[in-house]
Amino acid sequence: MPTIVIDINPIGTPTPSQTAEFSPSNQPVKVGDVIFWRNNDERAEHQPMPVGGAADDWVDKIARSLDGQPATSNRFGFQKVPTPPGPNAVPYVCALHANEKGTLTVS
Amino acid sequence: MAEADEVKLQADEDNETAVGTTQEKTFAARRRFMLQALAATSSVALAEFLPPALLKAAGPSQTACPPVTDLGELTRIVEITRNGNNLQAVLRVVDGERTVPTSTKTSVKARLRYYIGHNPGNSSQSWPPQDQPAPAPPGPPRPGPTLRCSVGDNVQITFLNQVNVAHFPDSLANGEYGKAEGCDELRVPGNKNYYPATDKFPNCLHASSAANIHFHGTHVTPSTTGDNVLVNIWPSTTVLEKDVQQAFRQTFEECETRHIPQRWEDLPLSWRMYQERLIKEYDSTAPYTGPGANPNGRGLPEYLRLWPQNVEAITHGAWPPYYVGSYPYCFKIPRYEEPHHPGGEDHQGVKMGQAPGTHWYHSHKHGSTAINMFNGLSGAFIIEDNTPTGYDGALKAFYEKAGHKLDQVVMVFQQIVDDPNLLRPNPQKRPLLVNGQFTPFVKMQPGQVQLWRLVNATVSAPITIQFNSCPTTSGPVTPPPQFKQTAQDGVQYAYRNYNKPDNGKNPITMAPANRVDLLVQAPAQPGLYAVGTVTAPILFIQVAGTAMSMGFPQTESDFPPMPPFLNDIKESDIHLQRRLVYGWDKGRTAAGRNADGSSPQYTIDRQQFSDGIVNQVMLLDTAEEWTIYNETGVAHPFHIHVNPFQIVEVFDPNKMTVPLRIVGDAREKEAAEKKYGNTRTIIVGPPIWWDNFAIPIAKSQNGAVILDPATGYAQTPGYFTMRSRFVDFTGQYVQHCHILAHEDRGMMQLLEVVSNKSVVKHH
Repeated sequence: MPTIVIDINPIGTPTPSQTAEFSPSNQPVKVGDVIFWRNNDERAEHQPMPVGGAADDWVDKIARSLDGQPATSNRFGFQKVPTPPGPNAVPYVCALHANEKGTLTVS
Repeated sequence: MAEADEVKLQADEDNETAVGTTQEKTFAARRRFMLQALAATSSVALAEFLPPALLKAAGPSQTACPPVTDLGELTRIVEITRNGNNLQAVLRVVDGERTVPTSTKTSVKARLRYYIGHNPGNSSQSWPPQDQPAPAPPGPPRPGPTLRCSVGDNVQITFLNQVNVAHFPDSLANGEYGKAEGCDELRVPGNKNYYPATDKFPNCLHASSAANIHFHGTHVTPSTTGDNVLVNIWPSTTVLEKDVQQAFRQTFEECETRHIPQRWEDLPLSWRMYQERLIKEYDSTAPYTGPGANPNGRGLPEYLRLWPQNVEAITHGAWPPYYVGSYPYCFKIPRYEEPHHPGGEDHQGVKMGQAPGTHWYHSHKHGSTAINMFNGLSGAFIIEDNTPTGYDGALKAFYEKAGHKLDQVVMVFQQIVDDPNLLRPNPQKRPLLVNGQFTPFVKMQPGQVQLWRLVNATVSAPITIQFNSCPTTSGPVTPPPQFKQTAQDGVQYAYRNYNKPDNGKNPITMAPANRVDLLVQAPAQPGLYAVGTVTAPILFIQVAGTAMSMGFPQTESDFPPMPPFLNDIKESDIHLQRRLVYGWDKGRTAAGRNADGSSPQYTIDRQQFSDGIVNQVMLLDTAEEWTIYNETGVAHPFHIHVNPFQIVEVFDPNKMTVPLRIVGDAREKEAAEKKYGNTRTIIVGPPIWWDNFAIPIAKSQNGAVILDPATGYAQTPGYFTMRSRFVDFTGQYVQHCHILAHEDRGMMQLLEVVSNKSVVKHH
């Protein structure tokens, strides 16, 4: 029942390819979970996407946080997929910032 | 059960009973037929002819009742009661982590939106109770506080929507992340459009953090600050009670002493300016990253902004649709006064009073009703008539005459989850909770009679009420608790229906949104008894203590008389007949997703709800007869606001060979038999008043609707025919399916009652 929140937190010294980081960087998820990302970064929009996939495979571009009000992504869910049993690491990256990376570990 | 089967059983959001094992259905069908054969020979209340509910399992299968030590006692919901002639409440929608029971021993955490409230005129009436330690641990979910007042009272509710949107993804309509369409979305690997799939805005799930209130069962104006479901109150964590208290006090006073607001300008200027500021602030800071977005990704484009839509309405003298944070609900609950000169033109009062009974309130913002109800945004609204011949006055007097007090137990049935299955990659089980608890027990003394007021506040679960003894290892089966139904949907039974021999003999099926009032008598034998079946109980009764000698009303003088304004609607009163068709997409035979993942598209008269398009217009002060057909395999509960209806005919093609017709008396029966011959089964009622009725499904075989190959729609729809008076209030309101995911997704019509008077005069 609970949804999973992955925060996008601003970092101290931004560069063109990274203004924030995913927290936690490695998030365990189970089939049937619903995930959303929360953008706490006032400087930039972000968009987590699967490595090797398309920008909007998972979520739309997430707006910047404003006056302490983060913006959240739309829902992303893991349906039952035919994967072998056991952990299944799914790496992802921000479509707008190539150095912002994270992993979902699907069990 | 294999996972695939589990998914199939739960896969459809729409109807809990659309699929079930063939064995279950056959058994249920056979029993139904026998009941019906018995019933047809004796006059019987209509309840037995509802489409059968395949009993929803409320927990794991068991062959014996659990020990009472495993159970919790039923929580009595706090009540907000009248201060003099006024029902005053501050009702807030907030959000927080709750612990949702899933069995007697397990629970899950969920973030839910829920009601808290208090009586501003009586600080002891507070929900949750004020003596709870703060900060409160994630407690169980509960319905909202029970509102209780009398006919003739003024209702004055300060409504605050304080949901923190940051806690809910995807939960406001247009602005949240730049989508013009504004439907909630769920993407899964390999499918970017798992939801909304084929749903089209505004007939999709959206704006789940916006809210409003529907006072279901009330006969009050549907406009402005009355039972107005066409307003949308956006959330704000910064709008507090103190910020609106003064302005609302002014509004409530004007409502009470003069009249309720008619136009935007009737509301206090300070609050109107406050609203304008808040709405404009929302418009300019809502997240938006679509075409033409601002560099900071905030601020809606013109066509998505809320304030311009309000301006449009205000300019045309209409009521603005959008608000932020707060809304003043104020209206009078009508009390019927007999005219001084019967039929005379000087009768200033209402033509139909409020039927005193078990009514309820819940969130009703189009697009978010299902999600809000799954979160638990519902509560009981008891409207009393304590005059000597009123429903409450008469029943209480019957028991007080014998030296007893009639204890009332209010039970709100809910299924609590944070999101409906349409927004999940995998379906969720949803146990049935009573006042937020899993299979609680009610304490009764042997022989005691209680008045149970039951509300089916679920989104889509039919509930079957029956009473069973728990099996014992030895000895005979003790007789179960006895009951008599005294009201349906908050409208009392006529004595003749209460007194029917079958009242209390058959299980009662409540569709979502139905209410029933039952007098329940505990048996003499102490012990534990099940409500529901022993293998799938809903709650329990623990009988213990000193025996009491109470009984049920036995004669007509013991029982409240029918209010004069609920006299039967006669055929000669009917001004107009209408037919409506509840349907789904062409060629469909069963609910459930298609191979491409899309869900059924539900329709009324082959269309879905459209903002600003009125589907039916009725003349004030006329009575009409409506026949509502069901071409689908789902027993959609038909609900219409403002005025209740009497059911005069029902046809379930899967159970009956000919329709059943209910008439008022023996003379009408004779006339009907002459008219209809053997094309109808005629029974004497009188017809029962409802405001919500599950339409029998179309003729089906093996769970699939039989289609007419020429049209692609059902060959033999089920239907019922009702009569209703459209009196006292003009204005726009709705009729819709009360499986709320269907309503959100378009199974709704906009209705309007227009004045029957013209200013034109002949000279």
